[in-house]
Amino acid sequence: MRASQIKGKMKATSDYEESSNEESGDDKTESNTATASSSNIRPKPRPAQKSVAETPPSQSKENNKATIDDELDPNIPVQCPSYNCRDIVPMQPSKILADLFRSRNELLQSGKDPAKKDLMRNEYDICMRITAERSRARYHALGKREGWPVRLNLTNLRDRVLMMADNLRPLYNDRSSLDDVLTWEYLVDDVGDHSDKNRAGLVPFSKSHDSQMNQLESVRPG
Amino acid sequence: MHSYGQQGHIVIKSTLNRLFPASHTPTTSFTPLSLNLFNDFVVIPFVAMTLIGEDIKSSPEEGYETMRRSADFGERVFPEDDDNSEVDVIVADNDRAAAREKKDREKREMTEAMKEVKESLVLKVFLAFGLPCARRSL
Repeated sequence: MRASQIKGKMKATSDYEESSNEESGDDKTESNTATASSSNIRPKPRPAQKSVAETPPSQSKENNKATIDDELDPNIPVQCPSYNCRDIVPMQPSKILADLFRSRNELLQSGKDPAKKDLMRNEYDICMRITAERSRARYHALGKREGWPVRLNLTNLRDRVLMMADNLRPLYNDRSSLDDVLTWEYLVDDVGDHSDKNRAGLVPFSKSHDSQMNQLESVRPG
Repeated sequence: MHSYGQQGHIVIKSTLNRLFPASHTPTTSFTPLSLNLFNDFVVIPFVAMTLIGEDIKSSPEEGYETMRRSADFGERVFPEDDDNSEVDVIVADNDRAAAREKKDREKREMTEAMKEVKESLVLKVFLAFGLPCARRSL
């Protein structure tokens, strides 16, 4: 029973890895391909499995497959629990995804009707999260190909920004220093392209851009 | 190197807010943009392209191209809603430093204002009672 579960999980993972090699493509299509051989019935959450800690050390050394158990959370199913979705749950789900599954289990155990809004909402969140994490795994592969590190040293990033302080100060205080800044140039060009009336002098710049500026407030580039 | 994604965006922005707080940063040179927008659309990309340029041992312009090319990668691999608690730690650290610097700045300004008041008072005493009295009031 346990061996077949591991085998099933390993198959699902290898299928996923194959699909993850594709740089682009629809996640849903990939997942359908990945699980084409599986049944259409939504799988039940995996039953609790014995952890390696419970098995004698000698046994765990002998059987390398048992180490896979370490990564498997019995509360996390193999497949997305959302109706009609067959995405495979990533092998190493994030803490956020694990928490969502924990909430789902709590909702199921509370005896509420599965059609209740809370559960539907939760399953929707899980589905979105799985899609994002699967896509993230694909981009990891892309990063490796391109030589882009997949981990950031954010403290170092902060320190480097602090060291740039003297170079940045003129940008805030001196209008002429902005002329040499590429991103300022692009922004001015971009705004200019969308403001023919403005360029003709029909509307004062600040008034005509109020709505644009409000839209920009909600956008995060970079 | 690559785009720093949303996590990088948050860290850079938080650090800029620490260095150039809204209360003490003039916006006249980039009006009609607000400081927030100016940071988002000009300074943060500028910082990122410069640092990426350094990472790839090339020019900021090359850094900009790499940043653009890896924008999707950065967004997916370093999302805001990640398990990475380092972002929260850095933001909290920056907030604390900003609050400390604000307090120091206010203290400095208060000291300078007091000094000015004292100097003007000494001047008034000098004008009214002569040098010996002014010396005593110092």
